[in-house]
Amino acid sequence: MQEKQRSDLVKRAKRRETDAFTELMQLHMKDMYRVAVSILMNDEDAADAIQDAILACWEKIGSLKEPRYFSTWMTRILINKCYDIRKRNQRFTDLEGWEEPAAEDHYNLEWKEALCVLNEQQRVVVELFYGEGYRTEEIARILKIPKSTVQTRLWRARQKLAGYYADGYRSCQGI
Amino acid sequence: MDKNEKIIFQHDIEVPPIVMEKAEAAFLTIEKEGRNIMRENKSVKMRGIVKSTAAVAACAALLVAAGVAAGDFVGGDAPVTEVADRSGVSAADGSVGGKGIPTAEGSAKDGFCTVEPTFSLAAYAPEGVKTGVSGDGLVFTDIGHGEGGFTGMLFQVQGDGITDVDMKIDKGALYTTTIEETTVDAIQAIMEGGMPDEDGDPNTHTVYSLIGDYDPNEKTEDQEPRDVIAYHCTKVGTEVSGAYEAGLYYGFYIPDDVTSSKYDLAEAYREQLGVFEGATLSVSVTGKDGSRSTKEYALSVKKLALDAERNVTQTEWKEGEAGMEEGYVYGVMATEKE
Repeated sequence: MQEKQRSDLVKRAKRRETDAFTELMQLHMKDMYRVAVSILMNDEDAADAIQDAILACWEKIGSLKEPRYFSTWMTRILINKCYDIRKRNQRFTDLEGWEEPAAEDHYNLEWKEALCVLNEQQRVVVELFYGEGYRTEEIARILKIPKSTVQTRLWRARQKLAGYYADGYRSCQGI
Repeated sequence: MDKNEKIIFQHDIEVPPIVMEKAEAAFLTIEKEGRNIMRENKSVKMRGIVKSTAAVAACAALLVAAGVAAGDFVGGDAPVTEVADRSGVSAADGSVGGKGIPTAEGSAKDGFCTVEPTFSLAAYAPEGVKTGVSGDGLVFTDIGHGEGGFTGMLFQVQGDGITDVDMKIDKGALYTTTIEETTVDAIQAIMEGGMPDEDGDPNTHTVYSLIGDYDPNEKTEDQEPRDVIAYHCTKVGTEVSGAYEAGLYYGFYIPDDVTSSKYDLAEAYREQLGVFEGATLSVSVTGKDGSRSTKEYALSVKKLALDAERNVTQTEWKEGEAGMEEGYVYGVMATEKE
């Protein structure tokens, strides 16, 4: 979808047009899922966070000043909702704590296992940069940290992943 | 990032059914709300029309009663009470910060800023990182190695003829750090192992930080060899004493029991950093002749402005336009007490 079309959707959503809002959120569903899983590391909690974020975005969309900032604005709301859920569940999502996926949680396992290599701060940055294509400046704006910190976390993440793949993660070969 | 590593994060993913189901439930809620609002608006309009009609009828009756032909009547649009616009809610909920690690940036002649003669505190910043002294005091921000309770806000005691240093803080805690300059090659094995903390001691923590700009899109092997700084950190509690070491740095540590329940991650970090608000940092040094000198610093938490490149400027942020472009991160300021 072109930028202008997306911008028009945002403007219509700001006017409380539910169909425009729904279409807009569905366009971002994969991105939201990526970010939510990078923080919560399981699909069920990610689903809850996304649901909460959708409702929060609907409630607050009138306060969004610039349609072109919709993606970063929505991502920030989603990240906050993820942390709410994590706090509520009192789970610790460090590397070693990734749970064996539930029977139904078998989607995107290879990607999730790669995420496991990283700590949470690195996962979010990596997903936003490589998964969703944000620039480091935009990631800094979303996470409210300096650009240099974003760069540092990306660098550390790359080193960790280099070690992970050097250990022979065979299923990655030939992708 | 090498090809395989990048691909795994760019590969198309499948959104699981559970996510779609919950999203659809949210859309349904929004849709119902939208219909309810429309019905309410329509209902209000209808009431307005009924009122208007009743008024017309009443007027007509009066006019008839007064013996005047009811040719003219009050018509036109009835006033419609609009549903309160909820768009006035602030966008604060969208703010994200993290244990947000602000990083000082810029250049100083020797990497330090000093406050006082005799002995002084100098905020630490690695080479190539800007640091400065605010008009009101010495500013500390996370220079990039902050993790967990280790804030990454480092400083050093500087002076001549110092034999011992005693330091204490009445709120929050402290840690010490020794800094090792090394290279990517030297710690390659550690990095490939995920850069774990080396000794497993919960009171110590080592963080590796790359110096200079880093292009995430360049492959590791294509990048110029870079210097790495290893920060070997040790928690020391609220007091620390010992022989003076020129290479020893002190830092602010957020105690493990200090947490925040705030949704906004930047505000959560501010709340945790708030443990230092109003704190007094007391530094005493002993000279070779046995004399002692003590200084006390009042600590406060400040919003520090970011420049256009999102780098910390070390100057206090002044409120401008609200909204998406808030250009600040939180840091700690130390003002020497009279």
